[in-house]
Amino acid sequence: MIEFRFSSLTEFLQMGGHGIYVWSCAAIALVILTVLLVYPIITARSQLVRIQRQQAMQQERHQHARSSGP
Amino acid sequence: MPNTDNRYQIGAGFKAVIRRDLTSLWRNRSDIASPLVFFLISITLLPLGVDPSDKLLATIAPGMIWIMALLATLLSLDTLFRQDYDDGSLTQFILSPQPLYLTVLAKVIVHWLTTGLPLALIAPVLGVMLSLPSGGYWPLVLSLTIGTAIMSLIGAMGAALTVCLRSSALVLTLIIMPLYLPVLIIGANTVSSAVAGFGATQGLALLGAALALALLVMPLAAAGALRISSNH
Amino acid sequence: MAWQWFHRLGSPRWFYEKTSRWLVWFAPLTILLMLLGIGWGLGFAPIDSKQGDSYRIIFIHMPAAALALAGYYIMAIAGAVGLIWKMKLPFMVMKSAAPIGAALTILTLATGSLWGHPTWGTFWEWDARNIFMLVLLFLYAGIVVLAEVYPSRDAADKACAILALVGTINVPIIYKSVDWWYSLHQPASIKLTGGSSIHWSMLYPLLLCILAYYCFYTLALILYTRREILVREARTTWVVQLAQARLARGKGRPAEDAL
Repeated sequence: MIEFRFSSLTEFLQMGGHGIYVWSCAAIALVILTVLLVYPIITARSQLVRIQRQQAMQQERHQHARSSGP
Repeated sequence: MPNTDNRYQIGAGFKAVIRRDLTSLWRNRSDIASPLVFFLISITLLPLGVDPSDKLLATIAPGMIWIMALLATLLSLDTLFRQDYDDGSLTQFILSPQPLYLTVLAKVIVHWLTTGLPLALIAPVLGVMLSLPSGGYWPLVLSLTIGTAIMSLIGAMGAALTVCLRSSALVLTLIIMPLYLPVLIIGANTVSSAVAGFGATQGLALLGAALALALLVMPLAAAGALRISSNH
Repeated sequence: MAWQWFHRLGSPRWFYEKTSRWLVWFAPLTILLMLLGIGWGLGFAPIDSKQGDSYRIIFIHMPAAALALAGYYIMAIAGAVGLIWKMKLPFMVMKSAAPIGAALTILTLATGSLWGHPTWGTFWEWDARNIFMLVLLFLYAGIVVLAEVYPSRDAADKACAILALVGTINVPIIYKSVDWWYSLHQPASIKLTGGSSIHWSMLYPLLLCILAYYCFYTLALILYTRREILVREARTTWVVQLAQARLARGKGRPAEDAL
């Protein structure tokens, strides 16, 4: 049946002497997979901000042109 | 009437490209020599870098000759379409009624005649220098003859993809190397299994099959790549 | 119009708006599946009699390897669809798939060598699967680099698609030749999955991990593609409106907007 295979948390962390391998694998996986999700979100957000800023600048230029016109 | 006429023209265009390329290569003979010189020098340096004992050299000879032939081919790929791209004749090839597949094939044949075939022909000399056992010479020449043809075909696609880039050497190496790997494995192991007495027919048959596949696919891919890189 | 759905599938705007709604439930589901699968594998699956607890790396390693390989085919198919039907979206999917596949290949190599140390006694063994993964990494790297260095985006897309398609033909050949080479040079070392009969208590968590990785791949691919859409369609009205709507809603909830 499905049950927790380790009697204590320290045993779970040690993994019968192979803890360093198993947990460093888990850490590497965590880092790589997190980066794969976070990187596109962050860059997409900064791209949206950039588009916003360009749009604002364009509008400003339009208004400026209109107000300085005759 | 138009059918025979057309076929005549296609054959003529194919021959014309081969003749033109051979002539222009003959005029810059040093270009042909450079992969050969690279091949010779690197194999000469090899025993100086490791250990000149017969036993060690005989073990690594098939692999080393094959790797150096691969690198020499890689070195020569950039010239495949470069000049045509720079002087605009590539656009003419694409616009001409001649199928681009045949033009690419003609250029690949010329490339193989001027790099792959000479490499395969001088390989026995290098085999002697690296004390290759006597059973390995024919398999070496034959496997290199077929193998360099495959490498020219694959390389044509790589060269076509990178011809429009300013610094193409690194990109070319990166995209071509993984595709060369099966050729290297089969080729070098054909020679070593022949040396070990297992015969070379299996490896040569595999190389032949790979050549047939490459003949079908690679000029097509290279033609597509040339269309892309010529009109961006 | 039977083909309407297909052409709508090629529209970046349709994709962006549709996935905005999907992501709300798909992203939490994926993360939940990942945690469940790996948690089950690391904590609740029985211990392996031969390898001890180090075998638990399989739950991280093997699905990553499967996805790294499948990802190459997904990338090539996307490229082929883009080439044949001349659609924009498949090219964006193709370009997005390359870095994800490369990252998963690196993950496979890293976890594989960490698994190799307790089992083989070395971090790097010239094993058929190791070499194949390394070559797969080079194949991905070629696509990533080619997409970056090409002068025009349109040409870069088509060039990458051609390279990916040629690579697809080559992947099985590379695999077979490496396998052949390995059988010539190495005596059979420790078989990592001894026998084909694997007990359900190990198989089920492994299957769950594979499912979780597939979901993860889809999620990452969607996120990367959405980013690529924003970059490429930056001048279209709908993206500009999207950016302005984000501004209007204020900067209080930026994370949700980006999702």
